[in-house]
Amino acid sequence: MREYRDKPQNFVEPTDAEIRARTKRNIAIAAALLGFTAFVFVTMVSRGVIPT
Amino acid sequence: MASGPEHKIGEAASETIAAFTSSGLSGSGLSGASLSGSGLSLAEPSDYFALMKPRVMSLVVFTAWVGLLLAPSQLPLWNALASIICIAAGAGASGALNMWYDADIDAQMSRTKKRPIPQGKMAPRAALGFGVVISAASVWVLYIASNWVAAALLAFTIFFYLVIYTMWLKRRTPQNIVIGGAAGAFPPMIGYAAVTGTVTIDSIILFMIIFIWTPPHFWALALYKAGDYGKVGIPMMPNVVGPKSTRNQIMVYSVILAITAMLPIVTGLGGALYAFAAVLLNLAFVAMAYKVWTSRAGERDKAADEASLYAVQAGDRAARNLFAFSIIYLFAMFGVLAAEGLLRGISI
Repeated sequence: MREYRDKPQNFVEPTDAEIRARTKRNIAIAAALLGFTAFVFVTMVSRGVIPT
Repeated sequence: MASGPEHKIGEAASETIAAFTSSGLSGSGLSGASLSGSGLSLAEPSDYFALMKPRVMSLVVFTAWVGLLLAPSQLPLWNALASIICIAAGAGASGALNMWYDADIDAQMSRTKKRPIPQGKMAPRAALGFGVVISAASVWVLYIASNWVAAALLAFTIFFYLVIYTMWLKRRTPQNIVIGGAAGAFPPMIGYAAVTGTVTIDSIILFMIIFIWTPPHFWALALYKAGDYGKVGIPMMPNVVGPKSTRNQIMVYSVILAITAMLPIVTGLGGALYAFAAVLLNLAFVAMAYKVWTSRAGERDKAADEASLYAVQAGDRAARNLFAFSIIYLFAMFGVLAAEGLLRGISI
């Protein structure tokens, strides 16, 4: 069965600069989330919250 | 062209306000930021970092580290590091929340108009979301890394800076800096509490040094940037009571600061090295405040409108010098305390 989609209306194509900025933000968000996860994990281990 | 960004800001204002109020977040001051038709912003990670006021954060990191170092016991290295990162992140988050709320006045002041929101790189609500998420994360992780007292103090600091200072006092009273300065004075107390889990007389003294230091530091800046603040209706002391009264108050606070700075000697927080350095630094501070007191700093028809914090008219040189020295002063005072703390640790 074919996927149904409305034809986009009032769609504004992002500029190259906006796409580039969004890509950089996406990479930064991914890196920050990974870093935060590792940071919290190590901190919990260090405090003994997670037994080693 | 200088008028380019301002023109863009003017055009974008109504669109941004419409977008912002429709999100149910009305009540903030805001002006220029806007997204293009695509809804994507031009903000890069560096713009989000700029929201965190890196220069202020560097002072916060340093004073928090000194507080942590001077505490009578020790945290494991990782937890100490994590605590400082959390305190810095919390301070940065409150900076972002401040920029969200003050977007309207930031666009009008030479010192702040190049911030990401007034430049139109991001919408105010992006700064709001960023600030709220980082605030929550920093308080929670600080609790894990140290204890609830430090986490509660960090949460209170963020609340104090955003609600008490930014939203309440800043636009209402010339005493804004005096009371609001407490927010900047908490980091060493939080660092100390991260180790001990308590608030002691020593951590209160560290708090008091920064608290008393803030008015002369900021009023010295306001004396030669009064026009900038006056332009947007912020009741800085020189605009409300005049330069002469401001210079008087700078002098009084400088003397009180010199007395407060001697308290670590009394309690044993600082030793001989600190005593020597504190006497010299405070003599210099009072001498420079005296120069401001006897000068005509702040008295002119039109305020300087330079982009730099340090570019001033000749008559304001004394105030500029005091402002610049006050930053060195604080780093030096806490630096000597830290050096003594480290030496004490080595001798043990």
